[in-house]
Amino acid sequence: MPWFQKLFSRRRIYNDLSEEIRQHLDEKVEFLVAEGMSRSDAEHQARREFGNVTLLEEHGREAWQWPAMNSLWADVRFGLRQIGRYRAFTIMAVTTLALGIGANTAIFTLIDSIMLRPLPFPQQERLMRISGVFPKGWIRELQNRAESFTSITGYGPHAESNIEDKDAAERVFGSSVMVNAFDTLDIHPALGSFFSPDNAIAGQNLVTVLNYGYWQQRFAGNPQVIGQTIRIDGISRKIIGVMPAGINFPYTDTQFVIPISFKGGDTFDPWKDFGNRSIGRLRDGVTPAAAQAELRRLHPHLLPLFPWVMPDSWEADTTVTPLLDSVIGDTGPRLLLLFGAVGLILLIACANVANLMLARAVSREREMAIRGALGASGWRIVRQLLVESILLGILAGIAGLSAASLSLRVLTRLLPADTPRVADIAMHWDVFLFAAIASVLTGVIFGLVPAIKMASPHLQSALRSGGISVAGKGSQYKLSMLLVVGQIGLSVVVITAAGLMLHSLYSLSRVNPGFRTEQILTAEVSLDSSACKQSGYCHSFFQQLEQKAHTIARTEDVALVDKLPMTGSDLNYVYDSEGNPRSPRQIAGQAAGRIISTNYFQTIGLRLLRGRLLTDSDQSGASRAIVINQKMARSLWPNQDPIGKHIIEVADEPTPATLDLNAASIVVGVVSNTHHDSLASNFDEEVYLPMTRSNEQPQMTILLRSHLPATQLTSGLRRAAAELDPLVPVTHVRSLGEVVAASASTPRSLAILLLGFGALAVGVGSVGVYSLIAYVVSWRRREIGIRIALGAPRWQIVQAVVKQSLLLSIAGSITGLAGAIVSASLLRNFLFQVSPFDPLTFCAVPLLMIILALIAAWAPARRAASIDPMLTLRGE
Amino acid sequence: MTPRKTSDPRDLFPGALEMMILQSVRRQPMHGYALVQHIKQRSNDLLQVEEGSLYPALQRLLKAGLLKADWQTSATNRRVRVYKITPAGVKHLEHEVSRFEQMLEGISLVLTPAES
Repeated sequence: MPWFQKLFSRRRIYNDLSEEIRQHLDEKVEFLVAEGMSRSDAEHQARREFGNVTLLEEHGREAWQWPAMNSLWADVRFGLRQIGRYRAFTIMAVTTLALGIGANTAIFTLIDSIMLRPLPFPQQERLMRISGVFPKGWIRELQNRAESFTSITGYGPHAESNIEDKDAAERVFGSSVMVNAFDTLDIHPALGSFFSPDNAIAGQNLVTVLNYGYWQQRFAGNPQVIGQTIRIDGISRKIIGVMPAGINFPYTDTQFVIPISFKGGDTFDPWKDFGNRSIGRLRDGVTPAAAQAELRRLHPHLLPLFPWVMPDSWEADTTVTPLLDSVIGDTGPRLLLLFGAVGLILLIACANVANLMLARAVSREREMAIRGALGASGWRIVRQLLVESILLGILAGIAGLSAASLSLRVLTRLLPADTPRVADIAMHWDVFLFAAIASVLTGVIFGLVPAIKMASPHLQSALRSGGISVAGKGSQYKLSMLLVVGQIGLSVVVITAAGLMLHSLYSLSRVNPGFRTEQILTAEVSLDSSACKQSGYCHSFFQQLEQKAHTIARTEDVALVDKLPMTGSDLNYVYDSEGNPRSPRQIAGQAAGRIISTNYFQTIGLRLLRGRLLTDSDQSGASRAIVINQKMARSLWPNQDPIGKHIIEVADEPTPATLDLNAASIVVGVVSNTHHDSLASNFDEEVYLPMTRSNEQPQMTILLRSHLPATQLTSGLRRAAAELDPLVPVTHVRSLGEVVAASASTPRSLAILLLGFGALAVGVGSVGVYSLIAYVVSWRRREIGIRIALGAPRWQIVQAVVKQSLLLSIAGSITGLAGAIVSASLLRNFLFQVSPFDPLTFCAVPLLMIILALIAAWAPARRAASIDPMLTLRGE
Repeated sequence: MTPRKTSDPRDLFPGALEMMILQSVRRQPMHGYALVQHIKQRSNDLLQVEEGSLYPALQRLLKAGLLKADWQTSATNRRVRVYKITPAGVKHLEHEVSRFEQMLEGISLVLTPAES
């Protein structure tokens, strides 16, 4: 019989039973009345002889029920009654657990959304990242030759462009992709079409595909945009398609893509720009390892295709890894670290609630003893108690899930700025499954210990003594103490991790970047990238801008630089140098290049160590002057005078690896080193090039040093720029200090998150210590009362209570430090100039725990000392 | 925990009430009230059966398919549910009775003073 029919028939059976019993009673009453009894007497008599109608009817129904289910249901109902009855306990337990479950659910949501969810492409597991930065011609050759892939494609750097309207230009992130990119990803346009092979031919490439979000935002989702033109960096392009919603390719905030095109007949064109990254779709049955081996085999055969001699080792060790892994990148270990921390918090919460239950167990000892005496088996009692704790867990799970969903926004904002797939963060069904499993498991974990303990009470003693004894039984709270020690231990592990991160962040913040950051405002000023086609236009624009900026009231220094330090996009200056010959097949020198205006050194306070700084006259290019940093001078010409030495950028060499002294740049000065990449990175080679007409850039960053408030400087700067070109956008206005701070945003957000979780752990842990001590004190009231009556000084009572708390804390700290030592090595990769066994942290944390133990013991100790012996003894 | 009822007729021994019900209904189909009266009479009121306790037992027997029940109108024009024994019920009864007799025999053997 199908189950639903069973349900209906069961209802009929119950109805039959009720009616049958009613008829029985009626018949009996009639019989008794016929015998001469009054009706009301007869009704009483009938009921008396029948027995408990409700109960018997229920037993009758039970015959039809699944017995295990039925008694489980009874357990659930009883559990719910218990939960409702001990309201204070319930609130305490549910809050503690909800914090733990909530934190875990929130972090799991991140892990799920960022690491576990597949990328939004069909058969995304076959999409691979081919590591390296290549010219477009190289990727095209890989696509033609590699057998392991059905398709290989590439895309250009993440770049901002001017998109012009009638009266303003906005800066919009875009990128370029090879025309087969969308086919490789196997996605289809939401509107219009994607690129055709023809779009890869220079001249037919004036098209663009919009990101769905940008289409919504700028064009209000109007389907008429297809076929319209849009001016991107001064070039009109036809909009031919819109990407599907939820696809952010190739970068998270890419708003449009243009095709990568090839100039037919130009042998150098495919090989010039080394800015493209590559992905490919594996053929079925090919492993990433096999594909990688094939690419490495192909490498020496492709290298001669360059129109010049390339170093053998260039991108020779390319790797093939799943695209998802490469998207996740460094975020994976970070999230797992946080997951570990919140996992410990949940354990702490479990220990806390287990302790609360143990404390309550004492008051329920008689209940359990009576049940046992009435024949309930141990397992039966354990099951009942487990049902109770699982119910608590589920309540906490519901609360935790809501807390997690509410805190997700805040949490997402706290994540490091480079966290991938942030837009995809959402609670999916597996998060709910996780929360459900976590809740039930939590219930089992914190419920099992007290349940087993409660199920084996010393029946007779419990019944006989009535729970009254003069001295507290040590064994009663031995288990509780063990739990509290464990709790403190786990808190110590979490805050040690947080402390290490904090110390690491502190050492990072103490790093001198090598340049001055005070009172320097920076802003990007961007001409269309096609603006420099008119030779000298960009150069003179920025020269004029610098002059105008000087006139902004009370500006002390003004300088220009193509890319600010610590923004991660330095000019890659590949060079050959005098006295360091190499064969063309060897790799050339590499330095971070910066194109600067004369005043740059003075503005950011770089020290001149040798020679001279750049002057305005160097901007003509005639002097071929450059300035290098100390690190570069030492590594190129140790123990020699670097002034007057020659350096040439490889791109300017007519034949590879030959230094033409008549074309090479001349070192005129040496300046101090900077941590130009990030505070955590080491010094490396830096080259400063004067702004000349030949290296003019459409986009420069202006630095203004002034005591004026930023808003005033900004409006002055915008006015100055608009006087030169009303359409030129001034963006990314921020202080140089902010730029430097942003370079440490990842360790900072990790430290903040860990500190938050550390505080949570310590909070929950301290509540655990407090409630145990408070409980012990109330348990020992009588004993303390007698002691006081016998003349014990009150300070001795306080001392005893505080001592107990301290001992617990010390034991916990020792356990915790042992745990921290074991887990600290996992932190090694996250730490900057701080040992995972940092003595400062390892001393500070136990100290903190001891202070907390004192605080936690304070209130119970005072209560103990204020016990009135008369009252407690009378209460006996 | 479900509290145990103390007045359960199974206190006699498990299955006793069921056996008596089956035996009674086998002789003649009848409804619950009549069944109680019948058992009381036949046992000369020696067995103090709580009247209501019959019904859980009847439900168990129905569930096990040993009895069938039909609503009928009685001679006194009352709607009554009349129980009949099924073939499975007959088989079960015979099995139980023989087991009971064996048990009784065993017990009485033990209780009889040994002849030395």
